[in-house]
Amino acid sequence: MSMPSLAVIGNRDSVLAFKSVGFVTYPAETREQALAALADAKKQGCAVIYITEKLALALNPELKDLTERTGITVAVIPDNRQRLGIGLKRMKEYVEKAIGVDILFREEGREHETR
Amino acid sequence: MEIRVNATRQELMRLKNRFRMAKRGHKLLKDKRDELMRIFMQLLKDNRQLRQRVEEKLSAAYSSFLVARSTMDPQVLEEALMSPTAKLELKAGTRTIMNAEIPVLEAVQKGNIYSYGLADTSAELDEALANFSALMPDFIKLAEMERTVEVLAGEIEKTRRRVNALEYVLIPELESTVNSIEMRLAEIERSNASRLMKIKDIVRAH
Repeated sequence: MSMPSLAVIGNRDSVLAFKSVGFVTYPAETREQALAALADAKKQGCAVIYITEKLALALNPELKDLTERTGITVAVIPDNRQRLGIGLKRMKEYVEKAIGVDILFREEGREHETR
Repeated sequence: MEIRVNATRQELMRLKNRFRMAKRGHKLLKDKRDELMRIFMQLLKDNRQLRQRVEEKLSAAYSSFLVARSTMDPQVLEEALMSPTAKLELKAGTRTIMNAEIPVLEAVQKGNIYSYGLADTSAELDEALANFSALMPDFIKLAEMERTVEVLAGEIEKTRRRVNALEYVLIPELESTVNSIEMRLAEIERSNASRLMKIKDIVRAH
């Protein structure tokens, strides 16, 4: 694999369609399978990895570690069964990290001067 | 707290220089933080909209795919999707916002997404795949944006810490040290003057 590519990790039914669009897909149901998929995607040189919400929940520390150390972009997507809103929750975490308080869910907060 | 130094003019000058430098650095960092914050807020807003759109489109695409599956034999479907001919090529670059490196992603889809014979697959499958394919630009944009938010969050945190360290630790420290040295020097000056006066008196008495 020469060019960096995009990978999708998720349950079998969710990733099936992504495959024919051109993604590198890894069907995974359990934490262990997802971990193996993650490792392989890294080895293959995937620059962006999409992972379904349920798996992302199970792999949270590993994903953080991965983005911090390698700069691989990880994005969370819902799977074909339900939307858990994990993506939004991650944004919330970043807001808290940056500003110190959560202002994402308080519409248009004015809290700039925090320390 | 003040820094323990010798109360000399040389030291005073050095400290004053550091003080000026710290002030200037503080102002710059503060500006950087404010600008980063502005970009960050804008980005959050955009990201939220984009995520919503992607998630909606994605769930629509999933359900169209589900329809396609229901109209076809699972075996045939698996086979049809076994060997994709489409390939996503990713151009990954970076750009910098206020010294924070963020990714720029661009994906080019190559090849045909309909990697199967049309005879034994359903029209619904074609449609489902077209849905997925149409999702791609937003999908990639989403990843890029989330990564940007992540990087910016880290950068803002760092900058904020620096600003606070300067504002609440270094600058007051330098200020009070400069003050105390000035006071010591003035004290020495006064004691010198009074000593001279005293000596003058003694000399005159002779």
